[in-house]
Amino acid sequence: MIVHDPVDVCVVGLGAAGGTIASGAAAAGRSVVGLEAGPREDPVRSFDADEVAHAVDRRLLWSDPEVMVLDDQPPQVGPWLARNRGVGGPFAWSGFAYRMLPSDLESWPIGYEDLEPWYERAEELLQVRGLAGEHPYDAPRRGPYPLPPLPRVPGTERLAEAARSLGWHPYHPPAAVGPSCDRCGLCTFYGCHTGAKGGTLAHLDRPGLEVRAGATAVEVVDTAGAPRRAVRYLDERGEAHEQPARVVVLALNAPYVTRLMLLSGLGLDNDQLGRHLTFHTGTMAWGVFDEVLDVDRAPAQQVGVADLSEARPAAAGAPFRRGGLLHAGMPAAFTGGPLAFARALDTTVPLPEGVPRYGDGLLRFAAHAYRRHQAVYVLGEDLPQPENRVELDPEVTDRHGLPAVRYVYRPHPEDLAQQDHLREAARRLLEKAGATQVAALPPSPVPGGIFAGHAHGTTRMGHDESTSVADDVGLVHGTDDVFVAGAGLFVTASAVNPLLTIVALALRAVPAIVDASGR
Amino acid sequence: MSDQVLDDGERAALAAVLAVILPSTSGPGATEARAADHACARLEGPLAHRLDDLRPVLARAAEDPEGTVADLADAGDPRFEELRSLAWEGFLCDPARGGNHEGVGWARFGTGPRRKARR
Repeated sequence: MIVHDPVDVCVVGLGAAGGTIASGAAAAGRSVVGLEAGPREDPVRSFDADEVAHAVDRRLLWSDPEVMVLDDQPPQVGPWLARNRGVGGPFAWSGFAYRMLPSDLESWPIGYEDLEPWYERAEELLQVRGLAGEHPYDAPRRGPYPLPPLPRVPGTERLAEAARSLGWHPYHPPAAVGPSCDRCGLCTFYGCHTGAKGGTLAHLDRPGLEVRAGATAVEVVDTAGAPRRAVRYLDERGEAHEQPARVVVLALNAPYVTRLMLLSGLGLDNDQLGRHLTFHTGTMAWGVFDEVLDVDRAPAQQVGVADLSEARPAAAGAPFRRGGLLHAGMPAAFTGGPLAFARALDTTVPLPEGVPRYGDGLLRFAAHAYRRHQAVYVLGEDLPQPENRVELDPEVTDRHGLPAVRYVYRPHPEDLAQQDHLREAARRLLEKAGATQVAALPPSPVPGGIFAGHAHGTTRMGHDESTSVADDVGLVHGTDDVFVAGAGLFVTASAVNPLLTIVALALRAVPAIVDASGR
Repeated sequence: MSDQVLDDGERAALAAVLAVILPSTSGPGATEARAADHACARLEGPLAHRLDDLRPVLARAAEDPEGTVADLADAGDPRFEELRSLAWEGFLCDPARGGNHEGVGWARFGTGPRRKARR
């Protein structure tokens, strides 16, 4: 075991949350070590348009086994949760950068007014594009977005027009896509060849912060000395290390924070750790038009519709409390180019009726539809349930021999009704826009958000120590030196992509972490 | 573990299967794209762990590729999707990977590379 010199702060996981906190703590003068299991790549220099490497082999995602127990069915081994591997995680994602809304935060220990200044800073940090006041359901704002919205490709403008004709209020979805974007459309799973989706990477090169890539944390230990905590990790060669620190910040994806805490015996006092796991509900419809649309020649943030989000469908009599967003443009399933599109047909997206599964009919259809398709995909709120949880699998292990994450999940009945409602809305929007062949995903108990990397809860924040795992800045109850960061703290999932809230919460936690590490 | 290299008969059977999945009836298909070259490289490389499962399919396909593909598809056999994925890869991958010969797949889809792959 290699034992390193103590530091003030050890951050485990250098994605959106960990990168923000590591950078912020170092800027405040703390000595910081950041541990990241994945590699450190320059997203510009290492960018590669090879579809086989990215859309097929998912080079930038983890492929470790995970176990899903869905609706009491027999366990199914995957990888399930799409998890970015590498320092600066969000650079390989699409870059949706929504604020949560006041109604999303009603059961949280903090309100929108607490988060708003941190949202503003997060938007500056990530160079978010958008148009303030464009639709009536946007989050309250004190000022404009840092950058103007992405221009739409002509093919998606017709979806906006169709939404208006249905009485909805289409808008430009907020996008963390900086000014260097050249609209190549290779976003999700690809990194970024211009650095427009730099995430937190640009902020990690600062004095006082040492980044250790290829470092897989396996346990947080009580040293019974000073400092009291240390993180044990394995390097790429499998050699064991120990990094003592005055404060440890666990900033992994939510299920992996839970796994590390379970392996470390942390947060076990009240049977809350791992519970209230939420993803997002997800479904989609897509259609083929007569004209060439080329919707994949731009980032995914083309058209948003929030008219069926929050409690608006319920107010109109729908049998579910929380709705979701519709987005028109290119879904992650198609991201990349013709190969990604063709492989998705009949696997992750359904074929329109009458199209054969192989042969000349399939080839002719795919070749025609590639430049003429448009999708409407849905991100809905997944209601929290204590029985939905993360555990350690008793049998399956990862490449280090650690127990695999095991998801125990059952969709809420209201979420299934919500998906039905929103799927039909997506179909209606496509038909209104003039799609000639439309297909929609069949109903499924699998939470669609898992394929977008959206996992929340399991280490929820709260003032009541009997019903939560950490306080409102992420300090784990019963400790004064272990923090949790990231979407694991979310009390509810909302219907928006988690990136901006993850970064806002991380920025909000930095002063507390700096303070705790200076005692 | 069995041999990690496809023999000539298996290569021919694989090419026949891919040509059933993406035929040349109305334009260039898997054959013109030389999709089997790419598929063989994948099956002898990163997908070598799949060879044992696929060899019985190739053995039958050597006699009856159309019937083999039809039966796999009708039965919901996951090897159908696996082979169809290899067909698409070989038809639409970057030509540097050995398939999509002279970009015939891209041309059929009316597109080309938006950025260059690093191979």
